[in-house]
Amino acid sequence: MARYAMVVDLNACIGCNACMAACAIENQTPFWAGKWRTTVEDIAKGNSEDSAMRLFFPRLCNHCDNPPCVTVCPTGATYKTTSGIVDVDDEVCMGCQACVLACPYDARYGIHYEENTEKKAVFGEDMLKKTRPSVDKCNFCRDRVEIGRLPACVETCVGNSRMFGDLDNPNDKITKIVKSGLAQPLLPHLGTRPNVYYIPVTKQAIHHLPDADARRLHHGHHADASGVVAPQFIDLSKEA
Amino acid sequence: MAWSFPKLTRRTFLKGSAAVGLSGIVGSHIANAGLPSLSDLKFASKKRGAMKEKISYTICNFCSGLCNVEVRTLTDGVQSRIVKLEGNPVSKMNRGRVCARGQSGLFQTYDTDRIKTPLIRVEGSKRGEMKFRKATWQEAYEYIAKKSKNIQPWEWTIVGGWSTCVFFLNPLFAFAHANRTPNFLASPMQHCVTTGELGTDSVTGNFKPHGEILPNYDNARYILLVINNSSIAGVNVPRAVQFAEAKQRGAKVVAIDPRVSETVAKADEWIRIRPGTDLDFILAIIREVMSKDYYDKAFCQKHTDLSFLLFKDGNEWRPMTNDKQEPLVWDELSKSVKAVSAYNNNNEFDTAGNKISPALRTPQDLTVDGKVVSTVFDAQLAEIDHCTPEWAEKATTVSAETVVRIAYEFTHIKPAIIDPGWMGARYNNIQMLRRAQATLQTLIGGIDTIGGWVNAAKVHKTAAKMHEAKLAGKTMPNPVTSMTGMPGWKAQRDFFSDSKNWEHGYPAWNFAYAAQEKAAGRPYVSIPFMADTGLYESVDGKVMHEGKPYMTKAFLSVGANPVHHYFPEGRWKEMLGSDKVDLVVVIDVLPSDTTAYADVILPESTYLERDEIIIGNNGISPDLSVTTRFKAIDPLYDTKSTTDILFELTEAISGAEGVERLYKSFEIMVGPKADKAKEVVAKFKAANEPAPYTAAYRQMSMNGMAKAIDTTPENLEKVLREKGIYEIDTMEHMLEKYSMPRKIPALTKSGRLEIYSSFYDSLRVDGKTRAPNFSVLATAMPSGVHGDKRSLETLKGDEFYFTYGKTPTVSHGSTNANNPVLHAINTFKEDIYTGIWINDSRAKALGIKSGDKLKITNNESPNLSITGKAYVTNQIHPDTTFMYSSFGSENKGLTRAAGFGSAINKLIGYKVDPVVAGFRSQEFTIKVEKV
Amino acid sequence: MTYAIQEQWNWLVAVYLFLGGMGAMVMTVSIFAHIYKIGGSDNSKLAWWGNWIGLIMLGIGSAMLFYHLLNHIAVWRVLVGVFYKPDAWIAWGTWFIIFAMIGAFWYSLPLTKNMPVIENWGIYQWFKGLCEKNHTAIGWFTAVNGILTAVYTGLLLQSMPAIALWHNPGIPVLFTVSATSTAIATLLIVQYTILKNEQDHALRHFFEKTDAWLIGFELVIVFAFFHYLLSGSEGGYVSHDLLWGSAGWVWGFVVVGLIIPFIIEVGTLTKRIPSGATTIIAAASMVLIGGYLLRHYMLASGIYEYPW
Ligand SMILES: Nc1nc2c(c(=O)[nH]1)N[C@H]1C(S)=C(S)[C@@H](COP(=O)(O)OP(=O)(O)OC[C@H]3O[C@@H](n4cnc5c(=O)[nH]c(N)nc54)[C@H](O)[C@@H]3O)O[C@H]1N2
Ligand SMILES: Nc1nc2c(c(=O)[nH]1)N[C@H]1C(S)=C(S)[C@@H](COP(=O)(O)OP(=O)(O)OC[C@H]3O[C@@H](n4cnc5c(=O)[nH]c(N)nc54)[C@H](O)[C@@H]3O)O[C@H]1N2
Ligand code: SF4
Ligand code: SF4
Ligand code: SF4
Ligand code: SF4
Ligand code: SF4
Ligand SMILES: [Mo]
Repeated sequence: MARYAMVVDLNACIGCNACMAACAIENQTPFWAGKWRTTVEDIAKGNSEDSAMRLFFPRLCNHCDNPPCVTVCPTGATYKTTSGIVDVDDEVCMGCQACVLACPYDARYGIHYEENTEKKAVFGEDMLKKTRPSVDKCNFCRDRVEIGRLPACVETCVGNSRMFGDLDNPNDKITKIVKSGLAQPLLPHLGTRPNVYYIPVTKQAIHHLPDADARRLHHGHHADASGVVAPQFIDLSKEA
Repeated sequence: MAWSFPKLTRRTFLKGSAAVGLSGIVGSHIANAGLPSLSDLKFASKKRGAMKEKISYTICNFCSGLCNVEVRTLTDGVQSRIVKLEGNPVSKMNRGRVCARGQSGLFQTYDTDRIKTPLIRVEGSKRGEMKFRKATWQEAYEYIAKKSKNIQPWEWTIVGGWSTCVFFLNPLFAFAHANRTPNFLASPMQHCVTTGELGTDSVTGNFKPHGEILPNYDNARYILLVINNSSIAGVNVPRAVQFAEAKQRGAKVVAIDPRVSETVAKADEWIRIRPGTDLDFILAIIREVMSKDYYDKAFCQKHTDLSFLLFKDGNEWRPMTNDKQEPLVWDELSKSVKAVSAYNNNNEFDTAGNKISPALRTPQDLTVDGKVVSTVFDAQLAEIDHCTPEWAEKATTVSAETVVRIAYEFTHIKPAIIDPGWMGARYNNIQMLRRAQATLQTLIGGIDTIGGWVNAAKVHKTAAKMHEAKLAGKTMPNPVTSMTGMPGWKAQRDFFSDSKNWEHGYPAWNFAYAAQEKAAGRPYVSIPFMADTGLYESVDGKVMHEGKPYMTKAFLSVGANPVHHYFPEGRWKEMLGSDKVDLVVVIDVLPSDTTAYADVILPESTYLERDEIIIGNNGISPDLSVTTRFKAIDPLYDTKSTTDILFELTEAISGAEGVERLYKSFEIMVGPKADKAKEVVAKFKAANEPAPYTAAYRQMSMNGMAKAIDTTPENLEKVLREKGIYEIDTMEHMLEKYSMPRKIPALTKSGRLEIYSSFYDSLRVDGKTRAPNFSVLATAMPSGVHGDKRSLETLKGDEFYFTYGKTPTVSHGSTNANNPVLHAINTFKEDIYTGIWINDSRAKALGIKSGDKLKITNNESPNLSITGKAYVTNQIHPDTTFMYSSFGSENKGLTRAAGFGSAINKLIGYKVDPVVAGFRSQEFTIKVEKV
Repeated sequence: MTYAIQEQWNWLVAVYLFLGGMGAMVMTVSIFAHIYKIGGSDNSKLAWWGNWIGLIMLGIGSAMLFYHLLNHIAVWRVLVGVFYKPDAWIAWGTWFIIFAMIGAFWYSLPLTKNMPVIENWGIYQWFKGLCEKNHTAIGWFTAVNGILTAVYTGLLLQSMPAIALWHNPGIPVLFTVSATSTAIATLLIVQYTILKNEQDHALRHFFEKTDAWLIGFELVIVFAFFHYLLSGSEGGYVSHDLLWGSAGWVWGFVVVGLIIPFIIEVGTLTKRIPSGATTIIAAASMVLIGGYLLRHYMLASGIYEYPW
């Protein structure tokens, strides 16, 4: 059918947290209890003065093709749809939270009775999408995607960092990005086969200097998906 | 269940500290399970599917980005609830996006902390104690009517915030006019707009509060940012979306900031500058660009005053003109001095119609009328000739090579943008800095052009009208509200500052105070328009006007929060709490810190519950289009819209006569004819419309706008309802027709971009420059932190500079810090957002670790201090600390925001610049102590 | 890299894992002791006590898990889970526990002299007879489910791929051995406190010897873990730091729960330490404490390494 996936361009995420707000409101997560389907981590990188860097790292469920959360779920509440979305049925989930532990990406959290009750007041009782205490997580905004809309976080992504698409469609922008190898998944060695890919940060290291040969290219380095390479300033005048 | 189970929360711990072992972390919290209560088991039934979805459009009210918003409401016919906000997908400004604040807007409406009815301060309580009783609107107005009997019109002061300024400026002008109140204080002026933008606008002429310029990052290849963060990535969506696209298209971004802001995080290069020294950096770049001829020569010749001749009159530069006051230039073609027209957009022809090529550099030993002359270009270069890269390096701590390189890159990678900057209000030299930035952008010809600075469509439209009027020798009707740019601003300040415009003969107290100080030979502010200078004194009875005391006895604050937004807070608490003040009325949606000092709080409906009366231009957008707000739901509580409140308040303060005047003032300043308005209002009143004034003016505005854009009101309303935006023209077309000054004159005196500033020239007193602030040419001046000395020393020991900036998830220090979603995000990032940023190596020397409680004290006024937790990082210059400026609200009515983080205005003292009383809020060093 | 400890499975689950594994093995060991008359004694009393203690332990353990659920009324879903989620261990584990408890109940019936109230009901008598007739089969059924339960408690943790400490075959082995050792310790306590039967001396000796072996084996596994965690993954390393940096693990589990009882048991077996009720009860109690602490600290040190 489809293989929905997301590409996150770490070069473009400005750490505005709009996605967190959009997701929490769209999907009615107990944000007041610190529970989000997606968060944007604010990470300090670089140990020296010159390499000091701030990296904004949006994260969410990776909709793994080999999802350990589905494997451990004893009730069948967690399942993978034919379009690749891993979803939780709140009416089936009993809340053992095995799936929370099985997920290597910290993508799941439990909704407790009090939080479930509080939801009625916060979001309006009749407006609730999920009504039971259960484990919750990103479902790629399945109800939106199924009617042709973008996930809430993608639609509002101010930095245009989050891109959503279908890897089964060879013409999709993200298919091309993923195929090119520019974007990498997280913790691939665990065998989870994630469908969320990250474009690592690259800083432009082309510097122009007066009187020097106008444009001498020095490519920025790519780090691993999570990392960032410190900007490398090459002083052309000092080069041999 | 007091059993503790070892657990770490999601907080990070690094390998090094792991060895502390589990014993160290035993005892956080108990089992996260429990048995349900009965109500917990009453799961909601899934009714959502049966609800109908309704989409409406509005404008975000959380910051002056003015993003276009799409509102989704679910309704079953009986009840409606807003469930989601998104960016309007057809908007060319925010392009379907809104930021975290924009997303969370609906939780302002559903915030249970809202002010739900009018409130009157409980008899016997003091202002500030936040003791109120519920009242009806009737009671509230009666209370105000009674109290205001003994208050003279000029003894009122109106304080407005930015949203008031955007949506209600003209109605409030009308209100002030009708109630004969000349006193206006706008929180976005001396904090923000005038302080910085005035410098920019002295060059371009385009003064229009809240940013008349949206730089066209989309098409830029090189972007240089100076003291920018929330104006771009931290976050102002209309700029951020373009900025991000520019990055993805490969533009190179260089950001100058003492710390790694959200914007710096996205830059290719971080220039870690010592606070307050940006002017040195930019002047050195200008010197490089001018002396190495890196500028766009053709543009500078044609559209700027750089070729105009000046002469030295003692120490002062003066324009060299002919007897018709026309500027003279040296024509390279005819090798002679020629006159160009005094008001024009270009210098292609002399006044006789000959094609000329005005020289930028002064021919050797040129004299005119026996006076040695110099081009503006050469005078400007001479003015900053000492500002070498090496000179700049000493203060900025940025290497001279970097300056040289950036000057080269900025002028050779095209198109380039140096962002004009937004919030000023930091140092005495900020206005000069912004002016220098505008000079730099002018030098590369990047003004009002694709890939450069682009003026808002509305500015273009109005400027074109003003130009036409000028050519026809006419003046604009209703100049206070019909003009834009520097001339428009001048009309406004003239209106409030000139006692002749007021039958009681009192000008605004800030002007009266300036006159008094000037007469007494004390330092004074030249244009204190909408600034607080003299307010404290007028409350205290120390302002005299024509021999009579000029008192301030009443305040009306509309959507402003001065207790939290002005510097220092103590001053406002003292003024509002003063026994000499008889009445404080605050219109707000939430219990801000200022509402605590009110006698009467009038609750406004939130923006999602309002049809706005303004059908206006769509934001700070280079594309010409029209938009407005449609209410998504009816008001949840007993609240009203500002328009209705203004009419009813006028009745309470000035009686029926006042209301009569208000209709007239609305006619002049807002538009709709008074007679017609009365008729329509009566009609809506008869139909029991809960907001008759708003409804009436809304209807008339719709008609007026439809007429102005050649369509029917029905069609306009239909398009606005269905799309939220009525598009008229594109940026490209606007630029083709109205690019200033390529196509029409700029809004400066000369119509060109002015490097020799006619604006500052007009402020010089007795032919003398009072202070470098008033220099007619861009010049070097220190930040003011070390008095008149440059910041050359490395700060040592426990001494630091103090810097601050806005948070991506909060507007200013606004009550939206109380928004449940935003508060949750702030809590998630609490260490960074509420921490006191301090450089790791400096912190180490002081034995400070992240999370340690710090006390920071203002070295200039040691009675000002705050506490907070250290955030130790290498992402900040060693000389400085940084704090986000959004937190530390006190009003307990803000159940989430109260007590969260520290307020910067408890640390910042009172210090204003001599031009417009702009705040100099970072002009001090601090002492850092571990407590 | 961010390191975080799992916080969802807390002490309630530790108790579940502890009582579940131990209870199941108490049944199993006591049934085997009964069926095979280990030590030559009758052991039926021990089997009765063993099955009931096991039943109660499993009951309490399951109650802990039940209490820990987010939505208690959805618990029935786990029972039907095996039909369409055969790869999920909890679904199987729940059935193992239920079968083991049922089996233990049946197994105990023929050993019960006087069942209150229902003793004289015909249907009860008939059913008791049926159990008696198939006693050995029921014993095996119970024992197999008991062993599976013990193994399952380890497999459960093993199925979490991101936690290096758990995601390895050592865990089911360690948990099974520990379950058996603690089960034997329980039975020893029963023998020394409740039964006080002079006839089963040989059985006790066998238990003590077996327990010593098991503890020795456990020590080897723990030592192996120590090394396994030292390199291979950063998360494992942090778990290692956490475990060996915690007094509860080092002194509580390793020293008090393993080494001291090991020394005592080997000491008594080699007659270097005088054997006696107090000594054995003390050693067995220490094994029990260690058994709980093992689960507790294993859960508490479940470390994730997040790539941000
Ligand atoms: N501490 C601190 N002070 C600052 C700044 C800062 O960052 N920190 N920034 C400075 C700058 S640049 C600016 S522009 C100014 C801005 O200052 P303001 O314009 O005053 O800012 P806001 O906080 O947006 O709004 C002020 C008040 O409006 C209320 N309000 C919100 N919505 C509505 C509404 O629909 N109707 C009515 N009537 N009221 C409403 C809020 O509850 C709040 O109390 O602040 C300046 N001062
Ligand atoms: N999130 C958010 N966005 C907003 C607003 C808001 O309230 N919240 N308000 C809007 C409004 S009204 C305004 S005025 C704009 C303001 O937007 P900006 O003018 O960009 O203001 P800030 O983000 O407060 O500060 C910008 C940066 O200046 C740095 N800085 C401080 N001192 C110095 C210095 O001496 N030199 C240099 N080079 N840098 C320095 C700070 O570290 C900070 O990163 O934002 C608009 N956008
Ligand atoms: S918590 Fe719910 S979804 Fe997760 S494993 Fe248990 S039953 Fe499945
Ligand atoms: S990221 Fe976690 S929750 Fe999402 S599919 Fe993978 S394992 Fe499951
Ligand atoms: S895709 Fe939807 S559910 Fe997932 S993080 Fe984005 S907004 Fe949340
Ligand atoms: S909305 Fe986009 S840019 Fe903003 S924090 Fe989220 S991912 Fe980053
Ligand atoms: S930038 Fe954010 S807060 Fe400002 S108008 Fe746009 S959506 Fe609203
Ligand atoms: Mo501002």
